[in-house]
Amino acid sequence: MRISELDRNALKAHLSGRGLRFRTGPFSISLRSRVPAMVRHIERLYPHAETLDGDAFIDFHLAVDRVAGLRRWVKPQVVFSFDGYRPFKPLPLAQAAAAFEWGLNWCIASSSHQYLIIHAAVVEKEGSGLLLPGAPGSGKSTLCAALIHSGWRLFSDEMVLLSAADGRIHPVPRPVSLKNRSIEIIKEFTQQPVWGERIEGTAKGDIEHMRAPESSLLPPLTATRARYLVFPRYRSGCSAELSPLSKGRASMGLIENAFNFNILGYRGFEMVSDLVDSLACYDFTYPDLKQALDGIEQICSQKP
Amino acid sequence: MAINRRPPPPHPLLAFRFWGEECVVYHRLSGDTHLLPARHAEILQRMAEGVGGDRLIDHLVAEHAMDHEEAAELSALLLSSYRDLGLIDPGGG
Repeated sequence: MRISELDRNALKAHLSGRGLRFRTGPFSISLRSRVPAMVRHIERLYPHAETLDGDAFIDFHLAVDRVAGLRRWVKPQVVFSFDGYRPFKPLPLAQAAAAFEWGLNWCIASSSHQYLIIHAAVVEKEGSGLLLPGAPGSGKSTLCAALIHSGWRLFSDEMVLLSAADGRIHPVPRPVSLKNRSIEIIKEFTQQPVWGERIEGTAKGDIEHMRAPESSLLPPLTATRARYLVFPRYRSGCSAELSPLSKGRASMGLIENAFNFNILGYRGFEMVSDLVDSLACYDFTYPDLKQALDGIEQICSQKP
Repeated sequence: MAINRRPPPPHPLLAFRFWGEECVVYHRLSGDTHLLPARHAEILQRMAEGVGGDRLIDHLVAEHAMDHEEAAELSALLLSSYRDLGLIDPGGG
C-alpha cells in the first residue's frame, strides 16, 4: 500500500497515533507528528512511499513535535527526535518539514555505515549512475532537479549510498530540496512538479521541497553502478568549461565529501578507490541550466 | 621513465592506490589520505618497507635514472616530508 492510498484523516491518525510507518529507499521509518504542516508535507511529497505493517522492523523512530510550555503560544517551535533523542535545537513551527528532512538526513548519515555515504546528488539513466558532489552553492540540487525532468531518474539529491556489500549505489529518492533562486529557476524550467510549502528564513535561506516526477520514481528503482562523476560548479557569466579530472583528484574529492569515511576506515578507502576505478571523472563549470544539461549529455555520450 | 606498478605489499599502516602519475595513500592509524605523485608514493613504499640510506639512493639511481646527488637530495626531502606527515616512523627509515 502507498501513502497516496490513505485519505487525509487516516494519514493524520497514523501520524498522531503510533506513527506512520513507511519505506524510503532502503530505510524503514516510523514518523509521529501532530503538526498540520507535517501531514501536508507527507501527503504531497511522499505519496509513492510504501507503507509498512505494524510489525515491520523500523530503522528510524522519528517525531516532529511542538515544543511544550510557553513556546506553544509565543514564537511556537518544533523539535525533531530520533528514538527519543533530540540531536538539534528546536526550530520555528513553520520549519517543521525542514526539521524532518534535515533530521532524517542526519539519521541516515550518522548511523547507516553499511554504506559509504557521500554528499552528492545521484541520478541514473539506462543503468548508469551519475554522481554530482558539490559544496553548497555549486548548483548540484538545481542540476539534479533539472536532470530528473530531462529523462534521468532520481536516486537522491543529497547523498550517495555506496553499499559495502555489493559496490552498487542504492536509491533513496526523497523530495529535492531547493533553495533561494534555485526555486524560481526550476519552476521556470518545468511547469509540472508538485511542491511543498515555502519555508522561509531557515539557516540555509528560503527552501521548497519538490516532488520528483513519477517517471523518475516508477517503476521502483533498483541499485545501480555509477559510471560518471561530475563536480559541478555554477558561476554566473562564465563560459561552460568541461575538464577531465584525474582519478587521484576525483578520489580525494569524494573522500572530502564522504560523511562516514573515517568511520569505515580502510574499508572506506578501498570502496572509494574501487568506485573511482569505474568512473569517468570531470570538473564542470557552467553559467546556466541549459549549458549544464548540454554538458552532462556530452559527458554521457562518451564511453567511460 | 618507468614507474613500478607492482601491487603494494601488505603494510600494517599504509595503503596505496595508483592511477597513472598519481597515487592516493591512506594511513590506517590517522585515517588521513594524501595525493602524491606516483613516483614519490613508490619511494614511500620503499621507505615503509625499511629501505633507506644508501640502499634507497641506489634504488633511485637504478630505477629512476637519477644521478647520485639528485637521488640523495630527493630521498632526504621526501624522508623529512613523510616524517612530518606522520606517514613513516620518525625513528625509522
